[in-house]
Amino acid sequence: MKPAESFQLKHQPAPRFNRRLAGGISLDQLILYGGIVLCTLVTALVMLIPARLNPAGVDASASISTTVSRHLGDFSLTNCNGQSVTRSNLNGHFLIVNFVFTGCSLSCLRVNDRMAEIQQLVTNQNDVRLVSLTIDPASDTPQSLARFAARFNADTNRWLFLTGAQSTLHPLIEKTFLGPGKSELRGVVPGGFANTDRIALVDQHGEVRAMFNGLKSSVAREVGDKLAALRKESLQQ
Amino acid sequence: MAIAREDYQPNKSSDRMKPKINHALLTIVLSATILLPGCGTKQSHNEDSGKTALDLPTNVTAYQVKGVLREIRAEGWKALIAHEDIPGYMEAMTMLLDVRNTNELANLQPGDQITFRMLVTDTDGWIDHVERTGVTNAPVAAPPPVVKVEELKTGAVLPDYTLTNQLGQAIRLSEFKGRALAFTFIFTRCPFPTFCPRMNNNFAEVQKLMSQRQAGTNWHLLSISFDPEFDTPERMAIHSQSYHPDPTRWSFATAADETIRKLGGMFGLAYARDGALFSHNVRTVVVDVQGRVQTVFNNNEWKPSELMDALEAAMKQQP
Repeated sequence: MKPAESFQLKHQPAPRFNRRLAGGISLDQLILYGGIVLCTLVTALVMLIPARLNPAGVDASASISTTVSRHLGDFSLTNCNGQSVTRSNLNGHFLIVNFVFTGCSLSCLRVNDRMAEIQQLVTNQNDVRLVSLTIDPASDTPQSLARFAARFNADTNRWLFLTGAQSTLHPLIEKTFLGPGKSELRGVVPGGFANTDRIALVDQHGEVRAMFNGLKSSVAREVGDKLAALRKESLQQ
Repeated sequence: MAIAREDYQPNKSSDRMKPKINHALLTIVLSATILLPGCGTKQSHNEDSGKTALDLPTNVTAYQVKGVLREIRAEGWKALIAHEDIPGYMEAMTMLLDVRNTNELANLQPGDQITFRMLVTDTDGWIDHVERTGVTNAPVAAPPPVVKVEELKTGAVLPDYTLTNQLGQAIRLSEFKGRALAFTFIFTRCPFPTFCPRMNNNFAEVQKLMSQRQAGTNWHLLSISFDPEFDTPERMAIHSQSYHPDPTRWSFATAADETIRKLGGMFGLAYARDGALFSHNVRTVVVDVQGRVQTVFNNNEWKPSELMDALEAAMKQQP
């Protein structure tokens, strides 16, 4: 797959290098190693400084500023195991919510990759549940959602894929999370919803506290940070 | 940062030097060794490469590389990639690279800008951690037309639309009045086996079995492409051949995007262009001999026998 000679050049130290080492340290070796160490330190500094200044990395923050505080009201839906899930089953939990449809097969899947990262991140945090609400309940049966969930290695006791009546789901998504669907988008995205790549964070009291761009690579870390901040806040109260 | 060399070299150089080195030098080199992986990890974190190279055996060298995916070959086991320069390893070139997990390429398509990890040993090479970062050479997708979609309930009369079939002929939906009509929505480049290919296979099965059922002959199947830009009559004709459609029983057709959004949207069909492909849900509709919507199958889970039952019932409908 590559020219073999360049491989050997890189991995075999030049014979001269070894001979000189055997004789202890000479001046030019000192210069050589001093140079290496100096370069290393400078490189390390150059790499560390931006990371300190911009902890989110090269991506801008995934957090979406919103002044809207919305409350998650009652609902009764069905998870991908066919069991009923109501709002009260989730009381007292932080909820990480995103929006799915099993017809999604391309870049929209990335949001679920991010959700899978979040699932990993909160493995030991028993006060957190992940919730994927389908925007296409007419299509998405519990069975099709179960297959979808399996693609992301979802632990479906902690990451719930919920479907149900369109007359329940669409108003819930509209009022609490995404705003009303648009009729001119209905032929493009089920329900005509815009911004279905968002990930929402709902606190233990059912308030939507943050919205994130679910396509950003930094979103799992940012959700984790926000969760930590909210826990701290509730301890102080 | 175009190329991030991951943290093997420091360990390798320390291995190399250990036997003959004096204490002072050892201390300095070791501290450098400790420092370098530290920032390497941080860097790869920022870079979205996800994992550091710590998951690899020590005889594997990893390079973080940028490139453009040209082709997917061998059913996802090989990728033709034009990659950028890899300092210390090789210059920019187009290479056919091995993939050990076909999921790596599952959501990618030619023209995608990617980052990936090139892994090499003395005798082997392959890639992993393939991530799409953008798209090149892709035609600038026109925004979907602003089409207000109205729901249509079962029992309502299907509005008439004009489509173009695989022979290039104009066909009107109203032509099928007097026959039971089943139509579904596909696009010929659809790579997802449980979506369009399953719809085509199901229709082929229905075509075959309906004649055996002796349930009547006044029925027709129609596969409608929502990719009119690519799915010309010629392409649809070629695509359809592998399913052996009887032209008197099963047509392939397409129409202006606006028409298909209106027609499909009545039943909840939604499709969004994504590069050369579409994310879409699935709708299959049965219309009775009177031109009224009789049954809508809302996903890809219906069985040929269910569609045949619906067609039979639709044939029997009286005014």
